[in-house]
Amino acid sequence: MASEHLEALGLDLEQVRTTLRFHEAYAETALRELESEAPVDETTAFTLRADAASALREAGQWALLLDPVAARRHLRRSGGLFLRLGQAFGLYLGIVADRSRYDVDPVMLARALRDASGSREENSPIADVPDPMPDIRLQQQQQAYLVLAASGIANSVDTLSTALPVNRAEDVRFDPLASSLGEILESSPHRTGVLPVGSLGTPIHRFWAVAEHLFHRRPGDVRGIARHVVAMCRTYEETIRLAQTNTHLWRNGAAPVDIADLDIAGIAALTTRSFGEGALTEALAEIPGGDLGPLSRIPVELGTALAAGPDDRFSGR
Amino acid sequence: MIIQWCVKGIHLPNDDAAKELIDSGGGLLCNWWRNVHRISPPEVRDKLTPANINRHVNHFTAHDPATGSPFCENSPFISLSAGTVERDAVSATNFVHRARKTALWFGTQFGRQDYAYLYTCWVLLAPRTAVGIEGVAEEVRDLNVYRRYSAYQTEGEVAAKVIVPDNQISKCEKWELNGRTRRWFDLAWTQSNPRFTPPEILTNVRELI
Repeated sequence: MASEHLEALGLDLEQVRTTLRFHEAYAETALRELESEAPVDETTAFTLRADAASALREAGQWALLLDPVAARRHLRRSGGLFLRLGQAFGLYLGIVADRSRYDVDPVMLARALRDASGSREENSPIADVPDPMPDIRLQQQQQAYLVLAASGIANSVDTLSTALPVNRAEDVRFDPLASSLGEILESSPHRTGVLPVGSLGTPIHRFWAVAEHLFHRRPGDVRGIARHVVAMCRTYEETIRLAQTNTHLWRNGAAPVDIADLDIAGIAALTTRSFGEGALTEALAEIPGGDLGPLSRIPVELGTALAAGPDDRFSGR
Repeated sequence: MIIQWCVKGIHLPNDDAAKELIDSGGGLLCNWWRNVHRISPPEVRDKLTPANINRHVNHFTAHDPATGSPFCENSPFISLSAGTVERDAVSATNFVHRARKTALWFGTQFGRQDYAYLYTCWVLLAPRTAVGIEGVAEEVRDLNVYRRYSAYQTEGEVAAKVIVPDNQISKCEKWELNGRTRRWFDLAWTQSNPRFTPPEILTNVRELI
């Protein structure tokens, strides 16, 4: 599969390895500087952490073309750093990367969703939970990644909180994550919004729609996701073809594009986990325009491999 | 005028060549000077043109109709990294591109080499375009000055002209992939320039007479 992807992209295997190694090494260099004995001020610490997170995100994308296990490792670390910077994108990366379950507190996630939707219930059982994303209300693009991440793990028995105050924890039917997610998906204006999100400038309503499909998991939901994936894949192909015209940047792995597109790949991974292996591919085959070409379907196949591959957490790597 | 610290990332065959660049006192020369060995003031005037700075930034490896060779072989400009901030309106985020990352990226030849030499230097910057003025560098990274779209803006480039004088080069650092693990870049050694002149000499704060 890797050789087919590289052929469709017109990339040399050695250059992919080289670019991957550079981003890995640069991320480690920034982290070592951050953790060095010499004290760094708050601004420098933020810059180094963001620099490492970005380099690991790049490394994760290049690794996806070669090895899903390595890609998962880089994306999970990148996600952790972005989350520490208060970015919901970090949560999304972490949940996309981990096959089993990202180690996230569902009550904390519910709190972020409540903040994003502007809900301020004084008596809410999650009102006192620490807020991991204090600026989420103002970061509209980050809200798209927040609802996708939440939809990837909502409605699971593991998300029923045990960390709630006793008076609400007694109510075993109360799932703070599903409740908060359902509310923001239904009431947010982003449901029909066109605000561009991500490297492809995808209208935010697509993220909202995909999150709703992932959350509800009804018959036909996977076909609903497939329709949005098709539109995003068409934009991906156009973006890549434009980038390829600058041969100097392209051949040196330096084109300013997301080579594996983590929006599409992430949605493909979350869909595969929710609906089963092959479900997205089958749905694509059933809908008009779903017969994607070798280039446009690359991020779908990379995301599917990310969800289906062995989990390094349990492989001792 | 603005004084700007910059980094030049270069790949050289060995440590001797890297240290010689400091020891010789010759400074950082443009490719054109290094290629033809002898240049003259009138030739410099002819080379420092808006068309050539555009070629240097946006068509570096493209065919140069004036020489018949790739432009990069005879460019009178010297690319330096100063870092930059990229505004991503789509994600409503500003991305910082650090000078050291760009210098390492070029110095390792897009990651193909295990080590790079990073020269730290300072240059004088004009607050607007002044391509024909040899003594000041062009801040091609600044969108307020260089307003036409460039795919290379995120490289954070400052383009010096013809030479970065020896006494404006503070030091040379060798960064290399860690020998055992090869998982990060280590600072292998630093060679300071004994003839370096700190830029504070140009301060515009005057003492009492």
